[in-house]
Amino acid sequence: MPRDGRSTGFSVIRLDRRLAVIGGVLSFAGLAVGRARAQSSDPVRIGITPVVIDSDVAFLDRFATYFSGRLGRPVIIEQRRTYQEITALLLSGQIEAAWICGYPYVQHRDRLKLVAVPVYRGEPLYQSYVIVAADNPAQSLGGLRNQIHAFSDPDSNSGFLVTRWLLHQIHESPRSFFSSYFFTYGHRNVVRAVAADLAQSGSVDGYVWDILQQIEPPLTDATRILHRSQKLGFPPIACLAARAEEPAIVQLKSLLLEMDREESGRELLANLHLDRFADEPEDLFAGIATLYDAVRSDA
Amino acid sequence: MIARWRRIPLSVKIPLLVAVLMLSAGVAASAVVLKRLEADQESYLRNLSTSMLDGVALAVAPTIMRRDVWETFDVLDRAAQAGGRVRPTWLTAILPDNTVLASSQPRRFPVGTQLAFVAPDLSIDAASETAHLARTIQQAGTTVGQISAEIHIGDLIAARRQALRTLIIVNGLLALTFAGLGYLAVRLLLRPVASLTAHVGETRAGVPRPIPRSLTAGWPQEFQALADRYNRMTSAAAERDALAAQLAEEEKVAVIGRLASGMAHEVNNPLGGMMTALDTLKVHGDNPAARARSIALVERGLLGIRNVVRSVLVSYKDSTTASTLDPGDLDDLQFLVAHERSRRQIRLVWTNALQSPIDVDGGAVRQVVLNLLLNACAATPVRGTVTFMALAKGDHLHMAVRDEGNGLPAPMANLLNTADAQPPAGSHGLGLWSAARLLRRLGGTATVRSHARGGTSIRLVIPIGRRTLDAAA
Repeated sequence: MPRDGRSTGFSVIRLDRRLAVIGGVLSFAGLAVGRARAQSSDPVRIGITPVVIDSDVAFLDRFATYFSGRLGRPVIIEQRRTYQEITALLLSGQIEAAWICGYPYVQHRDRLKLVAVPVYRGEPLYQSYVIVAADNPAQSLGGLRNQIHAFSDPDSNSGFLVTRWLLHQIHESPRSFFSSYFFTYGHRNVVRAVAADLAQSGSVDGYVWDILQQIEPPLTDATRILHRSQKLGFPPIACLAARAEEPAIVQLKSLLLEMDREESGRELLANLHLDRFADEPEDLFAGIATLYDAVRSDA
Repeated sequence: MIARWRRIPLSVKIPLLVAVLMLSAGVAASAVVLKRLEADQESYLRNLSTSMLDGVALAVAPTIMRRDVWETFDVLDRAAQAGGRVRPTWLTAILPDNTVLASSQPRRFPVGTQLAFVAPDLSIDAASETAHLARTIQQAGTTVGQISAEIHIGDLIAARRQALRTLIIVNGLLALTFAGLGYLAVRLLLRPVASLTAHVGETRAGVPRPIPRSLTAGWPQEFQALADRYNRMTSAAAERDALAAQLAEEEKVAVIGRLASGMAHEVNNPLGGMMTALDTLKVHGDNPAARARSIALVERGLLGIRNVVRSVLVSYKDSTTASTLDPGDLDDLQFLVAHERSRRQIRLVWTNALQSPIDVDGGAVRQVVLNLLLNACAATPVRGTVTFMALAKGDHLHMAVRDEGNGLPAPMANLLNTADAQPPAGSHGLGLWSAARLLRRLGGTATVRSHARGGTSIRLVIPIGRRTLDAAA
């Protein structure tokens, strides 16, 4: 299992490169298709990754209805298990926009453009936490050596990249530092894995952990935050740069930025525990890019 | 123990047996029910747990093949939390290299630790209220892992205990109820037996009393028939008793007749001499020698007559008035048998060792001895010897009569030996039967012994000072 887990973890990066090439090829076709669609009443497809807390059907339905009514076109929410799948859909032009993590955005920033960035507790930033079970005696990252670690997703900034970068700083890699590790493909799953002692530690989105602490305290009470990362750019909503000027995407951006100005929009934002969406510059993700550049040399 | 059990009345014994049988049947039935329940529960558990594990194995097989720790845990955790009719305590996925891929209880079975495959069959540990089973997952004939499970069966064990408690209570109550009902029913059924026993118990000296019709009116048919037979038997016995008494009376009259005849003979013998003496006196009264011989002859004759008369008077005076037995009362009996003895030229050897009067019913003793002596004289051949012996030793009067006859027939001997013996069918033996009744009234016993050289001894032992038995007899 550990060997397989490691190979999965590192093959992700190579796979990402392949996807980038494939995505680049597909984007030209997607660009043409997208433009044709922009003139029709075809549905607008928005990809969602497990960066959001509340992914239940009722919320997603309300989310789709909100934008569908304002766009005058059907909105379809596309969900996939991994970031990689959503990123591939976005890069291939099969969806108009996607709520992705900062890490895939940085990996494909030359071909992607920011639509909007959530503002959380007053700023478009969040942290990555390394958590341990509440009774784990470890006081620092060093105490986790030779233990089992749970990552969220190989394309997650907070759920993989940050911890990988921390280990890089001490000249270690997940494979050399942990006895084994695995991916849960969900931040809440990371918390569950650590709380159940399936893994002794985990890398989790700080925003998700904080919200879980409010809505599901028994789960987070079984865990403890061992390390908080520096603040980094919040997972953004992005689109293909080539399609950024399409009316649907422009209109979507406008709706997102104005959500906090009306009641139903604020309700949706409240469900997500977000303040609002903001138009932020690309260099918001410079911190993540730095981490990415640092660990990329390991590959 | 057995003797004590035999002494317990039927009205207790039968309900007890019913209760024991009910309890035994209850225990046997309970054992069968519990065994069946256990088998059913095991079958139920096997089916449900197999079904549950099959579902889990199907869901988890792809994740095990991918070595996906989280997905495997997620499936196992959800299955363990599902809370269906089978509640797994834990579910653990084991890889072919015997390492744990994931468990619903990671603290108990940490990822990567060693855990061997287990036997797939369901095994139940009632003490810890758990069951274990496993399902080996294969793909195209290759083993890719095993799902091992522990199932909490506390509910099933509790149901089994509850069933056992219920069976004990119900069977106990049923046994008690049936024992109670059995007791009442048996008491009711045996009531006629108690009445019969009471009436038979009132029988004295072989004279049973009939059961009144009014009492048997409500009895079951069988007991009524029994009571009828019993009443017929009592009537027959009473009739025979009356007949025997009549015959005894006739025998007594016959004896009196014989005695009277003997007495007349005894009186007549000296009477002839005395008449001759009177004639001598008339003719030779002046002769002093002749006169003296005649007067002496008359005196001897009168003395003989006086002895005979006196013994008859003593023998047939009211027996209830006799309070003691004088030594002479026995000696007088020699006169009463003198005629029978002399008729058959029998020698009488008489030994009376009584020194003073003793406190027994003298009349009854005399009648018993007279009967035995007359029988002995009748049984002894002509010119034979009859022996009598009497002595008082301690608190008892011992007497013996021996003859030289052919021996006393067993039915006759039984008349003397057996308490409450029935009177003989004919007149033969009535004397002995009467003697036996008198003897029992005196509280005495008789022992009959036949001698090898012929003849019979009858030994009598009569307690002294026991006349109070009269009242009880």
